[in-house]
Amino acid sequence: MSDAERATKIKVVEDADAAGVVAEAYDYWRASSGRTKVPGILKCLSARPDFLKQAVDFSNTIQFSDGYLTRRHKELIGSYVSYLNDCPYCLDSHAFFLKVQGASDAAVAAIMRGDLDGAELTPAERALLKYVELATKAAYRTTPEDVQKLRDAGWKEEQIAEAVYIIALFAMFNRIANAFGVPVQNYVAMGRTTP
Amino acid sequence: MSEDKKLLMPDYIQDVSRGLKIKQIQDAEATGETAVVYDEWRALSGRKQMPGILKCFGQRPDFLRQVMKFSNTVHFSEGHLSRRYKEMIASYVSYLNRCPY
Repeated sequence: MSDAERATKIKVVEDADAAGVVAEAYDYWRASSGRTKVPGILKCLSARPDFLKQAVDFSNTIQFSDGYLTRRHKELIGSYVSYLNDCPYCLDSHAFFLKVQGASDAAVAAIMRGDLDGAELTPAERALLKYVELATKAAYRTTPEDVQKLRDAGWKEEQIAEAVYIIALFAMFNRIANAFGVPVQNYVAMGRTTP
Repeated sequence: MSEDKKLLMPDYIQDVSRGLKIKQIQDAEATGETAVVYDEWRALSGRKQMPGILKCFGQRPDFLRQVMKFSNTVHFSEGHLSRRYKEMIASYVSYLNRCPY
């Protein structure tokens, strides 16, 4: 694919073009991640490097770490939300992270096609993803009974709250990635084991 | 809710206004780091009562602090867009997403 075809719909600052506060924000991410090439999703924030740095920080706090939910469950939620929101970039990235967190190739492939039956889920994980679907499609329509099903499946209140933060985080990043048109990295298809 | 008040509300309000579905940490029950961050918000805003949206984050005060910070950076201030245009966008997105709050 040519560069023109891969260009985003809204302009971003590429690694090589970054200067001043944008270069400083990119370096902030490089130091935090230990990686060199700034991912497409973060380059979407280059218009506001101050916000970019904050996005690096809050993503580390709530997504890229164990909390009330494990990192693996967070990647499961993030992948499924990205599938539901039709975000190929985020789906590939987080299905890749799900694999890194120990999910089998078959389970990752199932999540990528929205197949909960093939995703090797425990009953509790399945209940969680059914709720993720409701909250992603129409959060305003969720009911106290929907949340009670999560409690009945064994999820604690803090875990349910954190799941909602992850659902919302991906609602945000899915929209950013799709509005800018960030090219998919195909990490899963390429069989990558490191980012 | 009185009948005349209901008329001012969109019809989907009946779905949303069934009370809290997931527990929030209320002002009076906040302890530890949650109480610290709630106090930080009160000091910054000059207001006393935590807004409902921020209390949704009471379970993770570290994340709440970051949410407050980036909201100030990108929304509650002038940027490449004026604050007024940001509120216009936010109001319309909230209408489209059926979020009466």
